[in-house]
Amino acid sequence: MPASLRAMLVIGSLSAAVATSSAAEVPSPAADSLDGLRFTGQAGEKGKGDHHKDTIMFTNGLFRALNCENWGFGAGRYTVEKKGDAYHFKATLMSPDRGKLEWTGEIVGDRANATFRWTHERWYRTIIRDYWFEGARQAGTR
Amino acid sequence: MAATEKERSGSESGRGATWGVTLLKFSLVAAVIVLLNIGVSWAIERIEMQVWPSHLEIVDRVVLAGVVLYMILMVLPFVPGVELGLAFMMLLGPQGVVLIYICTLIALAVSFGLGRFFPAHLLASFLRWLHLTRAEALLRSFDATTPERRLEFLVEHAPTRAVSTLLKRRYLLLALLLNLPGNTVIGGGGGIAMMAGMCRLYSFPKYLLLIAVAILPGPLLVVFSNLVY
Repeated sequence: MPASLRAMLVIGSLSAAVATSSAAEVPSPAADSLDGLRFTGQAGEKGKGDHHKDTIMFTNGLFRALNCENWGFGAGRYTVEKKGDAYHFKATLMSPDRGKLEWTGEIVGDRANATFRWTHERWYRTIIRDYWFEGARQAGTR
Repeated sequence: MAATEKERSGSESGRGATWGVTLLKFSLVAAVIVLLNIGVSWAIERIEMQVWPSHLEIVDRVVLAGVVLYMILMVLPFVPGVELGLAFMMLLGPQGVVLIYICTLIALAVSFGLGRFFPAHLLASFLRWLHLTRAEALLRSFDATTPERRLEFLVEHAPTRAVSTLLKRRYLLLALLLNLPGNTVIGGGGGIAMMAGMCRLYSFPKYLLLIAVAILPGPLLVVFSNLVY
């Protein structure tokens, strides 16, 4: 075997090994759990543009939206369902004084797209606002 | 003879000019309102305001300020109070209906009270500023009449028999006027209530009871439309 061909085979094997290793770093979530996943992206009101950067994460069966925690919405238990390549999740985050946020999202590959609804009863009306979140999986999670 | 004709023609052209000025002033007020409306809508569009849970306190304050502003506007004459109230109720939904109903009731009671204490000569001056000299003269004579003679005075000055009959059924008339679409041109809810107070033909408890029923159609309409859709 000529030296140049041998060198090419070595490089090819090394590339394959590197590719396998990066795939192992970002594995697919299990069908019944998204624990360990973390997505960072933008959030905004439905029909409107970006409003702020936000991070959502799944830990110990709980869903967290970090920016929402600043407003008192604590972690909430999530449910997940696998449909084809997509993982559909749902979670409700409660706040002691600002109502609730109902999250519904989909994770496909390294992307998470979600919508969430803020509902809050006030003396003058029930506030209902819809929002969106689009994020990419943070490297090194899961 | 020629002089009389000249005088008549002069008086006719003068009346035409007066009406022109009145129309111009009304158009000016309408234009300001329309421009304000367009300006505010444009500004909101441009800002592309987003409401988040972090803005809750602001939202509460804005609604409270809106309610207070609504009440102030409702008290004032020549403001489209009925339309404003309906818009507010649509915006706030079923919960807002009760709130706006109570606010309207309070505002119309305040208007009535203001009418009772508002010096008629100031209103007459305003009418003169608008070049509505006949209305001014009528108001001045009406003000000079004793409260007991006022109904009689109005009936005597009523332009048609129908109006005179309506004046005798003044509570019904008031209820109809408050619900009349486009009643802004005759003073709006606030103006009508103020006039009702000013004319001293209505007792306050009866007036309050009347408006409590008379302003119901708007809220009921909103409630039913919410039930249907």
